[in-house]
Amino acid sequence: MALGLGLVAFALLKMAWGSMDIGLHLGRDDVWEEIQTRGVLRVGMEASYPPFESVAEDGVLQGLDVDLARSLGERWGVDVQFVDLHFDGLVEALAAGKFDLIISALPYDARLTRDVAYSDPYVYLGLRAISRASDGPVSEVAALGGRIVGVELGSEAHQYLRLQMRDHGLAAEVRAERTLPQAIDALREGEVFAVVCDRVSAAPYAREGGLVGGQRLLTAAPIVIGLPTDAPTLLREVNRALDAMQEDGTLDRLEDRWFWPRQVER
Amino acid sequence: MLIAVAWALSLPSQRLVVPGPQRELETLNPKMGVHTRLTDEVEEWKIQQTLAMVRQMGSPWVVEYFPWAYYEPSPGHYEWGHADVVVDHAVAQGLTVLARIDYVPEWARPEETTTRYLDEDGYAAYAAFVAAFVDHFQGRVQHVIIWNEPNLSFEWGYREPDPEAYTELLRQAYLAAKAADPDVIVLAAGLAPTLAPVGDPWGMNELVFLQRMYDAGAGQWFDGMAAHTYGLSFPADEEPGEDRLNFRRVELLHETMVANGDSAKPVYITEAGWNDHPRWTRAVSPYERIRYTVDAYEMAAEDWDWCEALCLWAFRYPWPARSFQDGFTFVTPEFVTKPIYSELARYARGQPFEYLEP
Repeated sequence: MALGLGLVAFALLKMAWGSMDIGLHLGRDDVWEEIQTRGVLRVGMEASYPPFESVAEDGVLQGLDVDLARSLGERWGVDVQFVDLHFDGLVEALAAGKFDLIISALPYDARLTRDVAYSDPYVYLGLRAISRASDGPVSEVAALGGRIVGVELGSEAHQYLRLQMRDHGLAAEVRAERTLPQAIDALREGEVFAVVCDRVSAAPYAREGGLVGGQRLLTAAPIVIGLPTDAPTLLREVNRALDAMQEDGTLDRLEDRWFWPRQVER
Repeated sequence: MLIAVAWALSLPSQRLVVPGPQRELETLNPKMGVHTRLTDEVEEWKIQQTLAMVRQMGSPWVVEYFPWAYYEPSPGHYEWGHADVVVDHAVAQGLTVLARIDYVPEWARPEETTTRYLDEDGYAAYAAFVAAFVDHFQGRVQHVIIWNEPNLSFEWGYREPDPEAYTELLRQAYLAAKAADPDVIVLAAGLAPTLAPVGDPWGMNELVFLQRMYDAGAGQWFDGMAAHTYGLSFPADEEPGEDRLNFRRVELLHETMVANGDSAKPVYITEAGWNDHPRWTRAVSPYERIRYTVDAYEMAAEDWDWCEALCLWAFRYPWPARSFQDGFTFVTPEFVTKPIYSELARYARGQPFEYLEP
């Protein structure tokens, strides 16, 4: 149910984004022209958020967003330069012209559309249920009704289930373990029916040891690229590139590399 | 019937949410505090609910942000409505408010600058706003924090951090605030803990910044020091050091104050804490966060007589950040409490923990 409404909302957002894209085509885009002149695309991120962006032991930046930025650079024939900055300051730094794009697991935020333009989503994050393969995948929160559900104490999943029980009539028993591996152990031992956790944390468990991940996320948040609000050509080119990456399988390969195993339907 | 309806509609509207009489706050640790984020909270019942939950957790201190641009939209024209609501509810809940003041209105800065950019020509306008704030909230807010993290380029309008310029801003704000209310307590800005090397374009080591403030004569222009000190991925009791960022790094800040003859001035920790997001590399697990947070409050109460309050970032956001920032909160936007909230409420009352091992 929640995901269904979410998909409708995203469809509307996509329409809104499309309209914005068309509307912005009229203006001149100094940002795009400077990228071409400079031969360098400057990307802002906080490199402390694996698997999206982090600093490897050898000091090299790595992650899905790093690869995504480099793919954009290759498609546009420009080098990519990364600016590592605290997440709180990324939007203001973008507005101040310190870099051209934010690629930093940036969630779409309708409140900030005066300050930053957003690309189409390139990935969705959210919560996912893991269950025993013998019980089949759990893809709807309603399927948790009447069940004992494991979570990591204090995690986003813990709060989500509390909210579902308080406000949405879910009748489940939540069992909070100190760590996610302990919750997974309880699942394997048959002490809980399912474990709910975030999509990325779920990945290592979703296909092994007789466990299976839900085929859909229980919640879904679009992750987007942030752009200056006065860069219509850049926005168009970013969305074109993302469309192309979707079509030629680049986005799937990035997810496979950094989120393995990927089995969530979009 | 129509006449009755028309008459009813003509009556002045009444507030549906009222602060009510002052409530009594129960806590065993009077230094407990949190940083709320009510600046952009629109609905009054949510403001009241947030502050009531702060009281129920046993935290007598709150830090709140009062953006200059919101409350003085044009020079000399003040709109205190939202700030009054926040402060009145905080006072009714028995809380003490520490007011952070920054965020420059467009009329006070050049075009194409950010909301943290203020020329020296604008310092007098900022000081006048601080004075107006102090005057308006006299008897309700006694502590004001002058600016935020000026040792970061981001918080200084994307210019190189400038301790001498900040000292001049502090001086003007201090004098204006004291003229409005001699009993107001003026706090120097919380500085961002950072190991930024000399010449780093993004920030300046906060210990260096503070020393340069003292060298510029700042010592006479503040009554107390606001401080930021995050635990990151380390336990509360990890030893401080000039080469590391951890919770006890604030001890080095205090040592700098002592070295400059300011041992009598209190420190108010206005941002601190741990994050428990599973993705952020500087986070800890939710269980560790509870453990470290209890230890930190205990340390402030038992070991730091120079520390007046320990306010942790951030009690609740009005909406989900959907990023690692959500891992700092104690209560969700929907007012669902996290285990850290309930454990701290037990700690404040001396009750046995539900999750935490003794």
